Amino acid sequence: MDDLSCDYVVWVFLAATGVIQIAAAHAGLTKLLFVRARPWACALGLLLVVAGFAWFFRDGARHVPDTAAGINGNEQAARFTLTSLAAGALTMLASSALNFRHAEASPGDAEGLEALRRRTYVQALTASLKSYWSEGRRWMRR
Amino acid sequence: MDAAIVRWLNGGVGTVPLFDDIARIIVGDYFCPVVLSLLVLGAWFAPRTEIARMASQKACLAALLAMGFGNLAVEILDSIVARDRPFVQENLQLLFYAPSDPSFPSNPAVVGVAFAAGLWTADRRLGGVAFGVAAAWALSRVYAGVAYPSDVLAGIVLALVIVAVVVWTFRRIEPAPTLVIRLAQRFHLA
Repeated sequence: MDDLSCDYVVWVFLAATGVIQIAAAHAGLTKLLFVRARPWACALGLLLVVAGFAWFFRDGARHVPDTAAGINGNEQAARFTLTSLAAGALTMLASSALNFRHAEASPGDAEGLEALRRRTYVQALTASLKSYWSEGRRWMRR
Repeated sequence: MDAAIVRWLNGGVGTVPLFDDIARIIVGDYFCPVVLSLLVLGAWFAPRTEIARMASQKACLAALLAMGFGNLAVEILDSIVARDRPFVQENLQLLFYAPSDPSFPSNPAVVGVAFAAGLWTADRRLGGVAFGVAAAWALSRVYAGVAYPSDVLAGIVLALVIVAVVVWTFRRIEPAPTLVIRLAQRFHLA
């Protein structure tokens, strides 16, 4: 990967991680946050976003034609998607590790992201997979 | 008229160096697409209720699909209408490299408005921010001397039509979009 592509990936990774922190704090998905207090999570998210932009544009506007060494639209879409998925995966794993002790013992049966108000991502996913497994076995026995 | 507006706007280049530096970043290939994509990413997670989140996530899917179809439409139109960029005809001060693809319609206007209008259908505030970013991107292309206002206008109309068609199709094929999100919900991704 050349310098521009590498910088692009670092930029998107930092900014996407920051945006997920800000959005999760806004939505109250507390078990997706790296820090427990929502204002601090917002501040951390903002810092990551600013750091990402500062990293990429540290030398100015970076006008490189996509006919030369630039990144064309399709490549950008692919790289943004993969990098933001990686940022999402890191957020889910890191927040699961950081919030493991603070998750509620009987968190209810919320689905989707809503479950991440009370459970970490790993706990919610494990519980869901167990439930799908037992549902599947019951269905097979019928 | 089209060329006169470009000449008038581009005539301002060099007047305020700081403004030009900001315009150089906005007009580029990276700043606005990433900001708009980050807004879509934020819209996926940010709503506070399940109902609002479902609507917002459908809007995110609509925005992404509209952006894809918009790019396809630009590719097709580029092969039909091979309009030169303004700097080919006029003596302009470029703030950007000289693109080699046709000018009509403006691809940044299509992409920007597709993202913004898609988000607007579910979240007026986030959609409004996205429209601001899209407008800055499209205007900066004219200021930088790489697009005519009519290219931008055509891009905006094209994107609005595509978003309207995508949103209409989403409603027609319901519950398919809901099922896609429900599937993601099963793995706590939506």
